[in-house]
Amino acid sequence: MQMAAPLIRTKLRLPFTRSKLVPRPRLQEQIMQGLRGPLTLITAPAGFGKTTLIASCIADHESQAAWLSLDKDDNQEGRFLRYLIAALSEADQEIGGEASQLMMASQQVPPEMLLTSLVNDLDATGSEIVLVLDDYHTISSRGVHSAVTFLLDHCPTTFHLAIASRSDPPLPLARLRARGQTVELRAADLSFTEAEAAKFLNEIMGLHLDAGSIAVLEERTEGWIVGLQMAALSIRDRDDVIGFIEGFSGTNRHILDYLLEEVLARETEEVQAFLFQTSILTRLSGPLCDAVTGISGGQAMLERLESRNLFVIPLDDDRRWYRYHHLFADLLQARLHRSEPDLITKLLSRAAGWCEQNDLVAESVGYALAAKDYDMAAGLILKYWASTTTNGEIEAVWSWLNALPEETIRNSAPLGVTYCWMLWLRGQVDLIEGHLEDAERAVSESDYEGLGAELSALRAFVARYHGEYETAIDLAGQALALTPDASSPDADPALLSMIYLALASAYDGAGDLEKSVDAYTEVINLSRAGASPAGVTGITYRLAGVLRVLGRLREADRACRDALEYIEEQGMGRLPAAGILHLAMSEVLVEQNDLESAQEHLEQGIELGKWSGRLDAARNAVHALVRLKLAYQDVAGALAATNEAERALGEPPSPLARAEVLSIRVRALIAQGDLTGAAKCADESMRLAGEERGQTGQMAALAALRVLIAQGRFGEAVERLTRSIVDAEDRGQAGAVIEMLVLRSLSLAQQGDTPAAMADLDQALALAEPGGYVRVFLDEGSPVQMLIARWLAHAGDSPLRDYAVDLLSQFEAEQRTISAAQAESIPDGGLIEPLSEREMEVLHIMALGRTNQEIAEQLVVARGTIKAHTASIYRKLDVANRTEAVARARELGILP
Amino acid sequence: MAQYYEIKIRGHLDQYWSDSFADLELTHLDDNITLLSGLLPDQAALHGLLERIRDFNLPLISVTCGNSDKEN
Repeated sequence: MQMAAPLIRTKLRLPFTRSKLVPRPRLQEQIMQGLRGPLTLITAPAGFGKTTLIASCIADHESQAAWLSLDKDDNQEGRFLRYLIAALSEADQEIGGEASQLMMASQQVPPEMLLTSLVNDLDATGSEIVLVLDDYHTISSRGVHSAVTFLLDHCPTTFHLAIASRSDPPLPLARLRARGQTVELRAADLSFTEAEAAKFLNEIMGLHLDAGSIAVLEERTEGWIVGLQMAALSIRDRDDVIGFIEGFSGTNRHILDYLLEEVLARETEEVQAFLFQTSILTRLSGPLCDAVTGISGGQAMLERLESRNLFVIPLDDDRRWYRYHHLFADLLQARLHRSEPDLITKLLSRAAGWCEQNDLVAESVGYALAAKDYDMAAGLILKYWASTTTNGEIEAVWSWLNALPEETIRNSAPLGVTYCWMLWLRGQVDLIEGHLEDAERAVSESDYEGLGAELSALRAFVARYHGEYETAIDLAGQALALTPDASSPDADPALLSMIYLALASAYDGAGDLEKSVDAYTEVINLSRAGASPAGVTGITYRLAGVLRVLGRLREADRACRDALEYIEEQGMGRLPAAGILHLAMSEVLVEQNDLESAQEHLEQGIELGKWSGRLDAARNAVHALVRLKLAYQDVAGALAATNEAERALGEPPSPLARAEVLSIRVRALIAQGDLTGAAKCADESMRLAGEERGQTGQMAALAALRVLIAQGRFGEAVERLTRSIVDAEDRGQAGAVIEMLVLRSLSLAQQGDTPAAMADLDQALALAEPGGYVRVFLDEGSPVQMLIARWLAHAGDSPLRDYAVDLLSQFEAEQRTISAAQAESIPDGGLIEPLSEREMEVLHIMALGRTNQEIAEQLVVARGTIKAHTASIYRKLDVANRTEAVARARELGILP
Repeated sequence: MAQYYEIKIRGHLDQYWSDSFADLELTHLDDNITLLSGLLPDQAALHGLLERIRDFNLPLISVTCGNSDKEN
């Protein structure tokens, strides 16, 4: 399990409000009403007391409340979700347990999955809860907006969202307003009335102003609270109050300029300098202020500022962290920028240094970048990128790197290499090449010898991507030679597993599958040892495929089951990444002719894979799916699955992945009787597979051979099969040899050469028996059934006799079950995933217009369960609400 | 493409604000209005500037693009 980067807990704290506040019953009443509905929206410019108002209401509110103060870093969706989950579970421990576990286990949990988990938790607890998102205007990320929209759309009625923002958030407000479910407070509502201004100035700030003065101040500030507060600070301890008020009302100067000057003039130079110099900090602590100003006494100063109401807000109980009122800090910074622009850089660099020493890595990098101190930022990034990415913050590192000037990266060997790794981690292999050249040049011009292994590994990936397998093997070998091996104390397991991955996929491509098995196994072991379970899943899928081609079906079976067990132990069983393991398992099970279990794993694999938001599942599921559908004689379904898989390849499709999909499509086309189409498809698959000699190349070659046989060109087929068999035997690809022997046996029998056909079948049985291959015979239908029956008649006491008898009985069982099975639904790789029986029940009742509560009562289950079912129904039907769900279901004929 | 912009804000702002507003020229007009004028590199710069104006709660009166002899 990975450790997540520490959260800044103060973001989750309900902000402190002064003990004495102006009572604002009209607003509080409105907010209380809002907090009974789904959304309360407080939009007003800075300084209108949004935070204070909502915080004071929350403090008085009876139900649980979660608070999240947002800032611009929360535009990284992953980070936002992490804080969202933390905020909710802080308020109620029963919320977010599963979601945070999912997040810790992997970096790639799709937001929708986390949000659904939260919604289910919110529903299950059944208690009222308020979530406040403060400073929402700092959010510009669409991802975050849609996460919030998702919550609004799906949350139970016990959940109440309050948003405070300087501008209207881009949420579907019109829809909510139309339903009359939103309470909105705006600047005009928040401004102090004259009576409130009087209370504030005289009772809270302790002034003794007459009604006339108050009216003047109220008018001049237009009830803007921060303006009144600054006016009050300017007035206190002043003898000539009337003179001040006259001067203030008589000037055209903007009130911020006028008042800031007045406020500052009343403070000592020491205080002024402190305010300016620390205004650059997003949050302040005594020691940090000392480091930035170079003067001790920061803590005392902060406490003094707080007691003098000088716009400093404590962020925690023990007065360790504070922040300035945003507007005040902005004003101070703007002035500092004019008076001492060079000082700002120095101050920021000092802040960066202090944060690094105090393990506040992200803040440290942020300050260094703000200071444009790129050397320092680069140093920090290099030191912390690896640990930060392991913590799941790939996008954070990516944003740091992209904040550096291009030349800085281009001219730095280690930064260039880091940049390439980030491209690799983000799946942008095609972009690596250009950056690699820069990195290599930079390495050659420097003395970073240690980077050689990393460069070779990256080069190996690029070569593999371009189909240059031998080159890739060489490069990966060089990389291995340049780095300490796993047993060495200096070993770098992360780098080693990358190198072995490059090596494994290169061997796979070159057709040297024995070696690729070893290398894949090495990656899996390193990933397990390095506690990065996500590395295990995809690799196991490839490994199982290679083992099947090698004739080692039982090992493939074992590898899948081990990996599934391991992933379950790691608490990752429900992650999209686990989906591919189920697909690997289903391929093995199809080969063993355990179609029922295969179908179960396919369903799970597709289900989990869909969470990933990508269509990989459709592509990886296609092999097992087509064989399964064809076994049930559902040719149309098989073709549909290949169409779906092709769509899932993305743009532009990877040639090898497309070759694999086309090769399986050939089977469906032949079953359909479209031999012209099958021939075209096989040709294209061969062309795309090119020089690949591993799994892909074999699949394409076998597809072409199937076409020949279907066309009745047996002589040609035998000829080519003979060459392929020799070749595959040379490479030890026994699994492929079995399939080829079956096909050749079939062709020879068609040519009337029964003895040769029997000899091939005998050899195929011998190779297939240890691994327990079944489907490879059954897929070819009754001609092979007849051949086996014939073989058995002359088998005498062959040790393969029992195996052949078993195969024949499976042939017979299949014919009996086909008709029954046809009626059943088979998972569809297509857009519509079948609804479960329970989901159908829920859908039927939903169509009658019943609420979740009513549905729950009718089906005698918890409301949370119904909520989970409806969420699942929405997802499967790709709709947002129940109305759309019912309409779509009718459209699809699921509902009458 | 850089464009010439004129932005009017209510109230007279001190000169130091110019730094916060992309170094636009800051002029005090009659009727208690401050005019910010000058070239902005692109729309992103304009939006950033408008956001700053919002953040300081400066009442925005108008934004106009072009129509000046200063435009090149």
